[in-house]
Amino acid sequence: MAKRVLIADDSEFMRNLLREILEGDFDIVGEAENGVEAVDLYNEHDPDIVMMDIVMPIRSGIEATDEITNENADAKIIMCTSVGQEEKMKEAIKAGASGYITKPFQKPNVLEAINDVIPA
Amino acid sequence: MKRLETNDETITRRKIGIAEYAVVTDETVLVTSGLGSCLGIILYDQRNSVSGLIHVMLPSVDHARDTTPAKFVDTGLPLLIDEMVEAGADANRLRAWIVGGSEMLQFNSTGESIGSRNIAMAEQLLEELGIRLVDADIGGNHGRSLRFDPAEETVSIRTADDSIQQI
Amino acid sequence: MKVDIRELGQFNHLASQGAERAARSLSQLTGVQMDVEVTDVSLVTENVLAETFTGQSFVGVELGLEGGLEGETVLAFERDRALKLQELLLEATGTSDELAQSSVTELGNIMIGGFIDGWANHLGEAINMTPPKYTEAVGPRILPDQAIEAAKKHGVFLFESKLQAMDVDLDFSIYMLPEYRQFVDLLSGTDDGNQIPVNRLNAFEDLAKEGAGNAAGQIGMMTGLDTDVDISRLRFVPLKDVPKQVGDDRFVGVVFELKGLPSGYLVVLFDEGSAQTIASAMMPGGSDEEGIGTMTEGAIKELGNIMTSGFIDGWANVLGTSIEHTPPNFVHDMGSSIMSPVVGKLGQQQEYAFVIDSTIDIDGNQGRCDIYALPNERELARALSALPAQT
Repeated sequence: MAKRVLIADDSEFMRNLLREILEGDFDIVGEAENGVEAVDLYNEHDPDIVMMDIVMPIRSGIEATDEITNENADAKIIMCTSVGQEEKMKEAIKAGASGYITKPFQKPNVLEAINDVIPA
Repeated sequence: MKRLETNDETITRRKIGIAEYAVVTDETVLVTSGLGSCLGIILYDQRNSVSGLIHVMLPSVDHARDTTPAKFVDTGLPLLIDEMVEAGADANRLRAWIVGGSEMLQFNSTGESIGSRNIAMAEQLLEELGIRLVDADIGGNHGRSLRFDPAEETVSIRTADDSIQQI
Repeated sequence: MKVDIRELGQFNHLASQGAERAARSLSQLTGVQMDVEVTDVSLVTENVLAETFTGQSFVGVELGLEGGLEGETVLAFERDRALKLQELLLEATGTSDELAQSSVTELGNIMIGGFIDGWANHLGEAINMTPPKYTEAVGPRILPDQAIEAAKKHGVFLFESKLQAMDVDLDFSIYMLPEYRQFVDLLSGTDDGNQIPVNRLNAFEDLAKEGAGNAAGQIGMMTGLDTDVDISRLRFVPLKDVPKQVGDDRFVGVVFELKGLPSGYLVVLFDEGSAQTIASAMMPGGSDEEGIGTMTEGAIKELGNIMTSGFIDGWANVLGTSIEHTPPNFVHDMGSSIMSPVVGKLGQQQEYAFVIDSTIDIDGNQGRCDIYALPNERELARALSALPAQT
């Protein structure tokens, strides 16, 4: 059975791109536009993996990751972000992220990152 | 957890500027312009398909305040060789071309021009390192740009009047 | 507030790397290889900002920075270039037209991220970005308000990167303006000598503008043609990028070595057409010389002499020093090759250069003259620091 993915990114362009990359191999259960929606949709759908952007309005991806992993210790969240700073990576790890890829990325990178976290 | 970044693989031509160098292991064409007193040095290992181009500015790092290796003939040439060897070249199989080293300007300062000193240093070093100099388009007082095509093993040189020479 | 030249150099280096990263991202997303031609830092006044941006339409991606670096910043693209990029982006990613704006916004987001990362890592501190906003405006209105305010008061730092596509006819500039005060703080470095008080830099820039104005006046007097200083800017660039900035086109001109405090070089360049127009206007009966011959050469050398004296006399007076120039060296060749020996000589001492780059408009756009003044960096710092405090 295909793994279930939640996409969280405030850019419609990016959500579209990720959807295209993933829909062949994964089941996309929802698309969030900000950190609050990300948490809500996570609770609603309980996906296997979350592709989480960092910079989003209302609530950032780091805060959303923190909240989700506090309540779901085994949640698998991969940060997909334009921010490549060392400090940000550390913050993400502390918040509970399992993976981190920087934009722009191509399909193989995304699949590799997911595979690292939940081997097929 | 590692951070993944992607690589670009669609390059067919690499352009470098002053105090820069490039090493390629395929048929990517190497290009540089703005050779006045500067010297462009091309090294090529045909058997292992490794090409390198460096655009140096000055003959020697001695007496210079800024020590960026790619700026000088005496530190740049060894640097280029090292990088090419790391990319799979055999230092004994390298052949060289040199282009540039003109005397564009005349000032009252004594001594030889930067251009001629660059040429002298390069010729001396290449000989010491046992690297065969295939050909050279050097001196004069005009500017040049060059293009090295590994597939053709030729260096094309263009000058301000748009004429092209091949060596 | 003082600006440490090494720190400025460091930031220029970071900006260059940032631009390279941004260009790589752009290349990947559009499928077209983009190269960074040059990145420079200028301290610009309100006038220069106006000149740089006026009359053009821009598309921008604006966002806020917090943490290690603060303030509003905008990544601005010339509008028609942005549309072209958008086209390439949509095609390469197979995205529909309705996502066009979102695609450019995301592109800007990724590119700014590329710039910022290097600085954050250098500072050892996170720099947070707020969600990006797409904007469109004509002229300087594309810039954040804080930039315009700062430019009015004391000048603002402008990072400009020129990108060029390898195999497609597309080149454009991207502009970044970090918030002034904090940026100057970051530039203050240690108190060990290679520093220039920021307000003296402004003074130097004013001087340079005056010099360019004098030079323009002299061209006008000798030719009877209408001349105007189009733009005059103080840039801080890696020396090795100067030839790239001038480009590979053919120029006619003169090069002078300057001796005194500061020493350095002054290069006056005309494109071939302008050189002929000017030379002809300088001769009583006009000139019917074919191409660039001895008559044109003579005229340009004479003009160059007079212009240069006008240019540097102003400096010498204000700096209270004496500066002389050598006889003119006539040149007629590719711009980048002409600059090669100049950067070679200066390159023995320094890695970066302050370049005063002025463009003089001749006879209402019929001709053009570019003046590049490259003083020795250390001597310039010394001469400027010795200036009495600004009133």
